[in-house]
Amino acid sequence: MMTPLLAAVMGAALVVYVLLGGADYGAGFWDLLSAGPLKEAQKSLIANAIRPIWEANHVWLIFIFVLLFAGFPRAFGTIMIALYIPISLMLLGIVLRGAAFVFRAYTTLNSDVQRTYAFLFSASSSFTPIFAGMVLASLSDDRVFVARDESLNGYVFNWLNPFSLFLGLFTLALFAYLAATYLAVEAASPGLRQAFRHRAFGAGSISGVLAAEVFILSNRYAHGLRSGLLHSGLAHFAEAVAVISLIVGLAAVSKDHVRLARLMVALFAASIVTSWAAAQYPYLARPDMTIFNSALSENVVRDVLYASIAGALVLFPSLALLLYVFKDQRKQPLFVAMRPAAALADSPTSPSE
Amino acid sequence: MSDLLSARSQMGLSLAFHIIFAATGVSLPLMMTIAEWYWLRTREPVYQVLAKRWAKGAAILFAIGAVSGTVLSFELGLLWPRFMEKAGSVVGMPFSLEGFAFFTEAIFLGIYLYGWDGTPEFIHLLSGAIVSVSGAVSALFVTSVNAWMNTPSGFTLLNGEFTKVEPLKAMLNPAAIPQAVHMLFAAYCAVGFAVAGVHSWLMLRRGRNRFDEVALMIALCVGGSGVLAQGLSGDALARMVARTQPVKLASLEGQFQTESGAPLRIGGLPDPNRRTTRYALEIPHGLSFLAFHDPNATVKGLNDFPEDDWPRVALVHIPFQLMVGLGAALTLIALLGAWLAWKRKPLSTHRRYLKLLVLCGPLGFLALEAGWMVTELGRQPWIIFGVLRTRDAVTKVHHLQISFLLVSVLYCAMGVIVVWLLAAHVIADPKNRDAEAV
Repeated sequence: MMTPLLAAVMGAALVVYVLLGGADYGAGFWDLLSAGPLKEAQKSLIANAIRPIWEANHVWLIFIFVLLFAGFPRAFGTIMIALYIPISLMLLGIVLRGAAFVFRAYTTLNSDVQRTYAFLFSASSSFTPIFAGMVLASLSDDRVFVARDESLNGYVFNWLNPFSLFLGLFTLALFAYLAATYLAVEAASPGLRQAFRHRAFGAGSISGVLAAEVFILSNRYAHGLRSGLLHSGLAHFAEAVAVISLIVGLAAVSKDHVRLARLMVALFAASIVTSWAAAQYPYLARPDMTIFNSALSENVVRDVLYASIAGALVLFPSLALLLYVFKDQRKQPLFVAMRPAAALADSPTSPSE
Repeated sequence: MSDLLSARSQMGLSLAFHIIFAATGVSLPLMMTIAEWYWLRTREPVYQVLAKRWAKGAAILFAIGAVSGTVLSFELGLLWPRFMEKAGSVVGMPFSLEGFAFFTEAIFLGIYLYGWDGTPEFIHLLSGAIVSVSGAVSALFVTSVNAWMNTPSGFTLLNGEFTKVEPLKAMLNPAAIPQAVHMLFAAYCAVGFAVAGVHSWLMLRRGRNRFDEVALMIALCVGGSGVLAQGLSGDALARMVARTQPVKLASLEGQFQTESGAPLRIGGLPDPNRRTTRYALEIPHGLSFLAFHDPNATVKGLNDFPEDDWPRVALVHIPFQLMVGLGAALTLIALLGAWLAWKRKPLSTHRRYLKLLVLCGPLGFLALEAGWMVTELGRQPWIIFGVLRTRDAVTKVHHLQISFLLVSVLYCAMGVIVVWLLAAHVIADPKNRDAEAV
C-alpha cells in the first residue's frame, strides 16, 4: 500500500517539476530564439520570470531523485548504470544552464562575454529537456537490462533510437509551449504578449504532432508502454484531458485569452505526465524494475513518506508566502527591485555607450 | 589512470568544489541577517548596504552551490551505483530532509533578494533568518550522510544485503552529531575569516571607512566564534573517532604501534614501510589524554589492523596536522582581535592586524578542505566503513577518465568565473560606491 503511494508522490513531484522547472527550460529555449525588434524586451522578460524562482523549481528534480534512491534503490542503481551517458549529458546541461544564467546575470564585463553566457544558457536550456525526455523514453522502451553491474545492451543504443529521440523533442516542445504561454501572461506590453502568443501556438501545435508521433513509434519500440497507454483507465482519462486541453489551449491562445491558455497548457502538461506514469505503472525501468521488486522494505518506504509529509508541511506554506510576496510586486510594473540587475543583464554597457 | 581512481578523483574534486559554495551558503546568509538586524536597530544605512552586498554574494554562490550539489547527487548514482543500491534506502532519509531544507533556503533567499521593497521589514528580516537556519540545517543533514559512511548503523547485514533498515537510527549514527556540528562551525570559521580578509584588504587599500569597519566586525565575530567553538567540537569528534574508527585515529596521528600513554605527534612524516612516524614533535601522553581523556589510555596502532584495511597514512596524517595547525593559528588571531577590540580602540586602526587578517583570509577554507580530506581519505579503503569497499562500489562503466576530465575543466572554468564575478562586485571597485553611498 505504501509503495504505490510513494510512487504517486514521485509522479506528483514530476508533474510539478514539469510545470515549474520545465517552463524555466522552455524560457531558455525562447531566449535562444528571441529575435526581431522586441528581442531585448523578450530576453528581459524571460530573465525576470526565471530569476527569483529557478533554484526552488530545480529542487523538485532533486526531490524525485532522492525519493527514487531512497525508496527504490535497486532500480536506481540499474538506471544509473544503463543510462550513464544520457543522464550525464542531462547533468551537463543542468550545470551549464544554471551556471551560465548566474554568470550572465551578474557579470560586469562587456557584451561579448555576456553574449557567450547567454548563448550557453539558452543552448543548454534547449538540449537538456531533450536528454531528459530520452531518459524517460529509455525507462519505457524495454531496453534497460543490467546483469552483474554491466548493461547488456551496451551504453549507447539502449537509449538512442527514434522513439527516444521523438520523446526528447516532444519534451522540449512541451516545455517551450508551457514557457511561451506563461510568458504571454506575464508580458507587460501588447507587442510582447503577441510575440509569445504566436510562439505558444506554434509550440503547442508542434507538441501535439510530436505526441502523436511518439504514440505511433511506441508500436515498434515500446510495447509495454503502449499497452499501458491503451489499457490503463487512468491513462485513458489523462489522454482525454490532454486532447481537450490542447485544443482548448490552442484556441485560447489564438483568441488572446492568455489566462485560460495558461490553465490549459498546465492541464495538458500534467495530463501528459500522468498518462505516461499510469501507462508505465508499476515499472520504473522496463522490463525488469518495478516499484515492488526494487523497494528495499515497506518500513523504509513508509519512513520516507513520513519525511516527505513533514517536509511538505514546511514547504507549502513557504511557497505560499513566496507567491504572496511576489503577487504584490507583480502589480507594479514588473519587479521593481530587480530592475537595475535586469537592466545590467540585458542591456550591457558596451564601450560605445 | 584507472577507472576507480578517476571516479574517486572526480568525486573528490566535486566535493572539494561544492563544499566551498555550501559553506558560503550557510554562513554568508547569517552575516547578512546580522547586518540587517543592525540596520533595523540602528537605522544606520551602512548596515543595509552591507546586507544587500552580502546578499548579492550569497545569491551568486548559492546558485552555483545548487548546481554543484545537483552534480553530487547525480554522481552518487553515476559513479557509485553499488553504493547507492545498497545504501540508498539507509541514507535516503537525511537526503530527503535536506532537500526540503534546501527548498526552504531557496524560497526565502528569493524573498530576501527580491523583497527589499515590497516586503514588511520584519518579514524580510525573518526571511534572512530562515535562510540562515535552513542553510545550517541542510548542512547538518548532508553531513550526517557522510557520518553514516564512517559509522554505519541502523541496519542488519545479511549475506551482504541490508535488512531491517531503520532510517532514523541510521541518520542519528554515532558520528552524525559531532561531525555535523564540526562541519557547521567550520563553515562559519572559513567564511568569516575569508570575508574579514577581504574587508581588511579593502580597508588597507582605501583607508578607514565605516563600511569596511562594520563588515570586518561582523565577519570577525562570526569567524572567531566559529573557530573558538571548533576547539570543543573537534575534541568531541576526535574522541568519537577514537571509539568507533581506531584505524582512522591511528592514521590521523601516525600511530603505528599500540601503546598506552601514547604521545601526541605534531607534524612528522609517517613511513608505512618502516612503520614509524619520523620528524614529529612528540608530547608525552598527549594522544592518550586527548583521545580518551586519560593520560595512560591504550591507543591502538595501525599494526593491529591488516594492512589491507589501512588508508594512505601520510595522506591522512598531513592534512590532519594542517587542519589542527590552522585551527590553532586562527584561534590565536581571533583571541588577539578580541583583545585589541577590548582595549577600545577600533580594529581598523591596527594596520598590522589588518595585514595579518589579509594573510589569514584563505586559511579557514584551507583548514576546511584539509578536514574534509581527513574524513574522506581516512575512511578509505572503505566507502561504508567496514561494510563495503570503495573498489567494489564503483560503476563498471568504462572511460571514466573522460567525465573526470570534463568535470575538471568545467569546474576550473566555473571557479575562475565565480572569483572574477565576486571580485568585480566586491573588490575591483576602488572608489567603492558602497562606502560612498553611506
